[in-house]
Amino acid sequence: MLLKRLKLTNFRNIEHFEEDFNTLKIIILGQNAQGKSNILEAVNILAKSSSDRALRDNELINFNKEFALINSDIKTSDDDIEISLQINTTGRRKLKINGVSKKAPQADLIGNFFTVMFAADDLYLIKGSPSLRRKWLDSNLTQLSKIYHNHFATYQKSITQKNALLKSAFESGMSRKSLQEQLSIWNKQIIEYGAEILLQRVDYVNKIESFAKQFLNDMSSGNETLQLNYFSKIFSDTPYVPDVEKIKAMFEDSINNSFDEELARGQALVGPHRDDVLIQINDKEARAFASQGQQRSIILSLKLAELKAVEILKNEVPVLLLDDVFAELDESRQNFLLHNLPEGIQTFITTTHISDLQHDLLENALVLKVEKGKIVKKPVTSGF
Amino acid sequence: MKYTKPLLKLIEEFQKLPGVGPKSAQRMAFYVLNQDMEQVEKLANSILEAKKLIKKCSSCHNISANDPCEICVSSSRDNKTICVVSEPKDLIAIERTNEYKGVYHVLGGLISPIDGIGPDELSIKELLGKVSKNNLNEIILALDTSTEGEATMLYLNRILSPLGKKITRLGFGLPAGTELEYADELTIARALEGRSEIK
Repeated sequence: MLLKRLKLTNFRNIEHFEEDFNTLKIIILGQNAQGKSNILEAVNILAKSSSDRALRDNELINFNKEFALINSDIKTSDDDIEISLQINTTGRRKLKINGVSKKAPQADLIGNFFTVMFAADDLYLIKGSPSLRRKWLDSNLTQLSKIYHNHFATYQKSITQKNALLKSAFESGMSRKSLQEQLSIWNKQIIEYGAEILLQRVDYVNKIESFAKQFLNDMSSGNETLQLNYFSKIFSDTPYVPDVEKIKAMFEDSINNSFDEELARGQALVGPHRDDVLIQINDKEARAFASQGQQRSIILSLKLAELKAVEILKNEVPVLLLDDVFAELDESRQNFLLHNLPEGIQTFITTTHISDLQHDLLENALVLKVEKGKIVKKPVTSGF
Repeated sequence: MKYTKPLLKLIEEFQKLPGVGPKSAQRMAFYVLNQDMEQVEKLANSILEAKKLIKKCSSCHNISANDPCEICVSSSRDNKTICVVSEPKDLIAIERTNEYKGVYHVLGGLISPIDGIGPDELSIKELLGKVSKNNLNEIILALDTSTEGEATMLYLNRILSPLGKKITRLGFGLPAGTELEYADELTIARALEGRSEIK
């Protein structure tokens, strides 16, 4: 699929930007903090609804403005779609698809457009906290499944309510029986939706593992073996089985066993919101043992696997967003990435120095230069 | 320029109303100023009167000028069936269908710990009292399908089911008069779950 046109209004520091994209490669050049990544962020929001970089919609809106607008024309393998998303300071969004207003701006956005985002920060995925890896799973699964998005939203709400209840029980000295009665109504929904989330996450991790394993194997000439395992406290006693009813039963046991600890700590301690993905390289935990180079190879394999997952599950080649990553990848890894991309893929690349990019990348590329939120077209000059 | 004090106060009061932002509040305030005195008095009196005369029905907790309310005293109502709703506006939505002939019980909200609303803040004790005293045929739980609505339904089911009465909930399904292809995935999934045999 291709992004044929993008228009941004009051999006972060970009007051106005409009461009038709008739090329497969778009290079966005600029110094730090000029607004390069903001363009990629806007494109990513069209696919995943939320942004990894913003906690609240307010952050996406230009200072002192009422709203930000993202307008886009998208070409899929068999259709043309026009998406306009208005992000308001009130927190309520407005969405139009092909000119028709949609009732559920979050959910209705999903499933029209697909991206794979690879940013320099993704290198923390391996050594960083589990929350980063959960976010990675959630944002990818969100764009692949509207049902996941809905389950996830309901699950999060139930967890928030359960935490509030645990906290108030602690403060008000509620009786144990009364608390258990009230907890059970939230736990029931947590188990119901959490089990579905678990099932989809494990399935996705398994898919990603099989693709990424192959990529890392190729990259390292067979020297490095990657393993991904979904880790949940729920499966600490009994192994995972892909059966939703069995997962629910295990989940329930696990929550019941954690009652005292949850009460003491005042928060929900069991479920997908506490899980993790264990990444291993050559049977060793990557978090502790992977070298700088191995970390880069792993991330690269994961990103190529993400891409392949969209291709297989959605029958579309997603748009690739490379945010400042070429400075992090050496020549051989850059080459590996370029040679393993599917044909016809559209790629948006941000960089501070055009010299960080391979010569191949500049061929037939559109080059935009960003300075303090203003964007100008720049002819590709020879002599790099 | 700043608003003169009485006007500012009026705008502020309008702005406290649900769904009214600063611009609408300003528009309303100017509208009031442009009306003649008689019209403004009518508006002010209707607000005061509504507030003074309307009270909660002591039986079903619905709002009404009478206590008990018209529905609770009506002889054409089947008082062996109770429909439990969260707010009076939900009751009105069900009344509009002209299909339901039973009586109601208004909870006054939904369980939501984050807003400080637990079972004790709702009229659940009163419901429990009614259910255990009267000889009921059915209790219909007509609550939102939100997380809070589901939680409240689960709670009610838990405390009412030991009394051995029939407890039902509203069905999930497709909105009436819609085309299947336009329904969202979750609605269709729920409708499939709750499919029924053609009679």
